[in-house]
Amino acid sequence: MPSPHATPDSDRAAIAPRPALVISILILLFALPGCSWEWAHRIYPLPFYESSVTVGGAQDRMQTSQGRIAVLPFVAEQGTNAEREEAIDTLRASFDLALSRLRSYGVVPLADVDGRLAEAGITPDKIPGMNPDTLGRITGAEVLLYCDVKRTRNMTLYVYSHTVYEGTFRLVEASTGDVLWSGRLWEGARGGMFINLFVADIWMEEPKNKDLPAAYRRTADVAVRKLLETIPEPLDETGGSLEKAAEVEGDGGALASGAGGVR
Amino acid sequence: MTRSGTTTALAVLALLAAGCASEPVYLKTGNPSGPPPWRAVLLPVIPASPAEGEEVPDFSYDLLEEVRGCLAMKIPQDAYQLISLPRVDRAIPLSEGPVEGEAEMARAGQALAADLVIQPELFARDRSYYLIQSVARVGMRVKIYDGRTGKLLVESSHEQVRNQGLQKIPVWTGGLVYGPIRGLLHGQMLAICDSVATRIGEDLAKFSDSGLTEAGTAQAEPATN
Repeated sequence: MPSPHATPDSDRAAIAPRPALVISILILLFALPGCSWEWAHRIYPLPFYESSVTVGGAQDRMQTSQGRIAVLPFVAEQGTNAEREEAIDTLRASFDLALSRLRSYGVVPLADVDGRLAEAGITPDKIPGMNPDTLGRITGAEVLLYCDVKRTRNMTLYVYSHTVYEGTFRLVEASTGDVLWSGRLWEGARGGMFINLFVADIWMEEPKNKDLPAAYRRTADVAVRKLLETIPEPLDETGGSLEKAAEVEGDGGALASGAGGVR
Repeated sequence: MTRSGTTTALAVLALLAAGCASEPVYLKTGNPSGPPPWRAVLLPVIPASPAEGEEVPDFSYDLLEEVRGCLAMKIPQDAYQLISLPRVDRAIPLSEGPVEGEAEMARAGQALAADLVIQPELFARDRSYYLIQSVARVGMRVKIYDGRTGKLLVESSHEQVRNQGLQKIPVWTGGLVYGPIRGLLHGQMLAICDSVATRIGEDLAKFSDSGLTEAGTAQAEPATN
């Protein structure tokens, strides 16, 4: 008499392919896209993993740069439509806000940058091919922020949903064209039945992902804060950090000053 | 115990462990001395004074700065011209301790020629794990003072609690194990912080809107130094 714990042959046949399937999925996740955790994370949010910024550029020169920054219109690599334009504008506004509030570089207001470019007859699609020196003179900035937005996407299917940004950001010295800082980032907020583990969360969170541009704003803010963490604070004239200088000087009055049109 | 008995026991445990958020507060006690836009100072986040008999919460500097950065991004841009945080830290060094009282608020405002001084307080930021249930909580209070007189103008307080567990109905059984752990990850805490800061930002927008409508009244009552 067969044991009551023995698995019938038909069940064994159904279970047998599972390890092979799991191994195949693991190979697809990790081996094919270049053994990258980031790629795996893009496919499914890995626990205890957070997307990070790939940083480049001459950061020591960024720190000593005392010039103002102009956040140029961002360029969409995917082509544009109304939603993508809104998403890119949200990202640009968020970067501009973070740069002026979380760091102490002078930032030319976005309206001024756009106004001056429009006056000079420069449309966003012409920006990548232009000389940084010319752009610097037009915008009145010593440092230019370029961004190539590789991907923006918002999708809500309840089974799976996401709001994603991917792009490369560069701070370029206008006079020389040298890259002072660059950061590449993929950032996404995911939801839906495959990601959220609770029915109540799916019910409550999915409508929020459909609410544009607020959903883009949330993701943009997270992305921008990560990027800003990699942009160093400017050094003062003596080569010390502003925080160190404060401890020595106890200075505050001079900080209230600011050039016209610059925050 | 039968299977239904175990499920009921787990459900009761989950409900007992679930946390509730405190009521939001929006309390306007005065008008600023001029209409918006206002030049504003966002002071470093401080742990809120605990209730009698409770210990002062031990928040790390990095955590408080993360919350401050989160809030800085949600303060409405049109009405509040926020002075960059490093400049504020340079003018009002942390080593001198927190800014307290009307006189010190006014001094902080004057040091940076600011119309408003914003003091954020963190009164809750904790995570509790109960195996089948987790509770993540972030609570923040923001007080806005007049930059010239140091008088309290408005207070906004919000708390958000995110429960992860059985009462939210897991999609699959494994979710009951991983879900509560996932609810405690840093990214989730950041999302709650972001949500609380957004609500405070909405209150600050309400305050600036009232500042616009009452601009005449505000200007008719010049601030006394």
